[in-house]
Amino acid sequence: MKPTKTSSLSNNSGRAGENNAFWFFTLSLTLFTFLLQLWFPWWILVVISWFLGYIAVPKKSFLIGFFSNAVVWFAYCFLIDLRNNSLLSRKIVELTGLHYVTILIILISVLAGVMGGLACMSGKWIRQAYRKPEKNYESEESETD
Amino acid sequence: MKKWKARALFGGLLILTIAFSRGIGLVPPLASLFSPFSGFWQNAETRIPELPAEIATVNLNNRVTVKWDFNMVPHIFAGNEEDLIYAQGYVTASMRLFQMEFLHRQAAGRLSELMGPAFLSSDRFYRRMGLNRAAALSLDTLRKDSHFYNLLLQYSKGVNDYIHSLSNRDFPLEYKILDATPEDWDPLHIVLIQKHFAYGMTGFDSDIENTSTAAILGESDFLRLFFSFLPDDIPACSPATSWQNFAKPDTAHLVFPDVVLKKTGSFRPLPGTGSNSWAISGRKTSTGKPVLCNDAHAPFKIPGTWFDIQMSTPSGYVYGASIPGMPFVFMGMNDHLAWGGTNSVRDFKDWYIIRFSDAKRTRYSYKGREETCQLIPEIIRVRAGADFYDTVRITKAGPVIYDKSLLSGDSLYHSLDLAVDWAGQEPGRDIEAFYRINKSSGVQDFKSAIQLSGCPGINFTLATRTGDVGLFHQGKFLNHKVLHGTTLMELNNRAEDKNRWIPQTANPFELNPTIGFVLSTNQSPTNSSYPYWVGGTLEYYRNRRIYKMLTSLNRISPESNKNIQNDNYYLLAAEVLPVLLKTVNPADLKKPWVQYHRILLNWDLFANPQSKPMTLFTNWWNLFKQLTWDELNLEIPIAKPPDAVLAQILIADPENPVFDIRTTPEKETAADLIRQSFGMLPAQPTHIHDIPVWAEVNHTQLDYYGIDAFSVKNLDVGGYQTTINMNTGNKGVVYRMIISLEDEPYAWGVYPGGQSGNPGSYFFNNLTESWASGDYYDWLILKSEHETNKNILFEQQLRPGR
Repeated sequence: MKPTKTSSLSNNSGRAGENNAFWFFTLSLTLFTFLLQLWFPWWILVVISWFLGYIAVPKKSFLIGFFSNAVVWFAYCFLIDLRNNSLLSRKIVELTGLHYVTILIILISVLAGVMGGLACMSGKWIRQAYRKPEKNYESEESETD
Repeated sequence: MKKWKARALFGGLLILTIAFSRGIGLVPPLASLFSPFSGFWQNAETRIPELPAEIATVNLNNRVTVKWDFNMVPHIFAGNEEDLIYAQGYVTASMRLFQMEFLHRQAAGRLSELMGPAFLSSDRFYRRMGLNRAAALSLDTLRKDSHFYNLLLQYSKGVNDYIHSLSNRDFPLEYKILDATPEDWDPLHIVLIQKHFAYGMTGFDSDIENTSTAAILGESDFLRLFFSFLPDDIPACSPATSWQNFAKPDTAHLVFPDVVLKKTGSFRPLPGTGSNSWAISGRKTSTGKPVLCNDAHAPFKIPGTWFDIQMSTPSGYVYGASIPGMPFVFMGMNDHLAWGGTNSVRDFKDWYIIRFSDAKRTRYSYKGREETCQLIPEIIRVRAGADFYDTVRITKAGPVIYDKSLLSGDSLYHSLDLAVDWAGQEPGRDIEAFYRINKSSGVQDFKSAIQLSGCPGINFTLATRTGDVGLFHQGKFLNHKVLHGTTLMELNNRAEDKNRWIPQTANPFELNPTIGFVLSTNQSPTNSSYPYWVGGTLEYYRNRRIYKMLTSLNRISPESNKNIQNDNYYLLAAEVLPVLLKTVNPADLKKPWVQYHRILLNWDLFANPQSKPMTLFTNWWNLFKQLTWDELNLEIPIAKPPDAVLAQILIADPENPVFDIRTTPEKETAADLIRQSFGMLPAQPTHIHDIPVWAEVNHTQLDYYGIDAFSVKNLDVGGYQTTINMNTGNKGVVYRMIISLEDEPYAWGVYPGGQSGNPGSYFFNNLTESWASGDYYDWLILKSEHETNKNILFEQQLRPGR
């Protein structure tokens, strides 16, 4: 890991571009993972996150996969729970011994997040390992997200 | 990037994805289950469920309208009977699909396939009991009437079209947790559910316990303490003159078998579940029109046993409680009449000791002849486990249930094979009886319809709009000699086939009695002049309490009927407590017993949920019983005489030898035991505020398939074993209805739980609070599909074609 990378607070244009890319990929993945899960089983989130990693080879691939999927699951769980007045989630909480509905929803969102994050990272790693790396990504090899 | 790292991550990702998508053993696929897109969240319904307004289905002839009311009771309007029954299957499945599958699988002994090894002994038991064989036989009988059989097919098609309309994410919650797919429905499942119901109503017996009791007490005491007619008892039906044509039962005495059993039978339905039903003639009601009341007592389940429904065709409607998985309405009303029922509580189940003569356990002797068992192999599929192979031995007296292998780990049955002769094992047309009841228009129709109802035996109550009220003790009853069937029996005691049944023409009934009402509470069907053995001291308290209230009232309003159904007056306590209290002299008492005495003296005798004296009295009475039946306090399954008998002896004969404690040289009387048991009441708590209220002690709850987190606990209800409002522990009043047959009929009903079987629905448990507090809902009796009403939530159209 390059110490300059994390310690740099300079607001140069490259850094801003990275941020823009991060948000672009996160929002795109959020949208696609949401739409696809309306039709396909849950594991479609793994597939779509993996492809994003593979195609875009983004920096912070784990975070992109994690946030997109965690946010989608969190928001959808939260919406359903609100409309259901927590009738069912309170029973699941009692069944699983988690005590609070919030904990249940967070844990579930983390599950989706971790799966999406690992998938996105894996897509990127496979690309990097099997395709001839392009020059400007060479420095990313040691990135750990 | 190293290739091995990329490969390792990819491999790990793949494994995790598969692990979270597939169940492992009994663990469900976690990501599928937790996903808000497909998992349990999809079963978390909005307050008013979002159902499609129009549904295209394959098997309809014409359009069907379903109006769902504010309690999610479906009101079905169809052009003909076939479409009507199809729609009943469809809408019932949409509310109770898993319950239906659970019940038919339990009956057929196929639960382990769905739910794992924990259900293996249940499956073995039910397969031996032979509900599956009886259902197949019954279906063969029903198939002969092609019109009727077609209705069973229509119901099944309705269920199946609903199942096929579902994608995985729409499956009921239970299927997601079990990682399973709903099984297609079939007419056999309908019959299995009828057999399940029959087993629930007739499966209880104390024959194993009675065997020990009879051996200790001897025949005459056993007969006197368990099977006597009690003073002031009010049988359900008056005797019929035709009975003199029937021979009195053979009084040849039963030789009790010389065996001691150390373990009781398993998978028996709960004892002491009964029901109340009365029908009042217009002469005695506030409206001048007949009224029918029914409250059913059974194990507390959620989702409940009953599903309310209204079904209409241009030729008429029927409204009431249906059994999920079975077409038609079980109790309720139609254009012409209202009917209800209570359990006949007759003995449908006899146990025989089979003494095999060979090592393979296939040959035995029966009435002097050598017989060979029929052997039926059963393969039980077990989820997350190996298939289990069982062999059912069918003897002349039915299948062997208990042997050394069924209750493995128990050494108790090693020397005994017990076969059961359960009347429900015979083929029957009980389902058709309800089809005909639904369509009947008067007393004659009704009487001929119920002839098809054989097992369970039911006390049918009837009120017609033309003013008749009736009570029919109906069933295909086993013809027992005196005491036969009350204990285990040697095989040779079994009746010859030609004498096996009591002719149905002898069944007691009551039509338009001069007192102006008929009343059934599972009490004696009739008096001692009945030419057949009915067995058992039957219900004695609800019976006399309701009878007294109904006779004392003249213009009975719906409100009075509601009050009677919710009555917690504890008649047993009212009769024995004065005897108990006058035996104890408060001047001799210390704290806290002197306070206990005062509390009990001021008790209003109602088993209300907040009552503390009720808690005290129950403790005292239980201690008193324990001292009285000291001779029966053994570490084996053993039956104790009913409270009603003990109460009568206490009141009429306090010096009776039953009160003597055998281990002491003195000769105790009731008074000694009363004082002794009172002193055994705990010295703590010392303050009345610390005595727990009755609802806490009575501890009622609605059970959700044995899963505590989804069960409904701590119901705030009163009542006890013998009060009209019969609630205790895991059983109680599971349905109440009152039907007033005015020109414009009115009806009220309520039951614990709700219409939906989905724990994520508001309608899973929305009725419980009203039920507990004695409130009712008006039945929304819709006269046409065009009728509008503010209590209709929404409307669905089922239309033919896809």
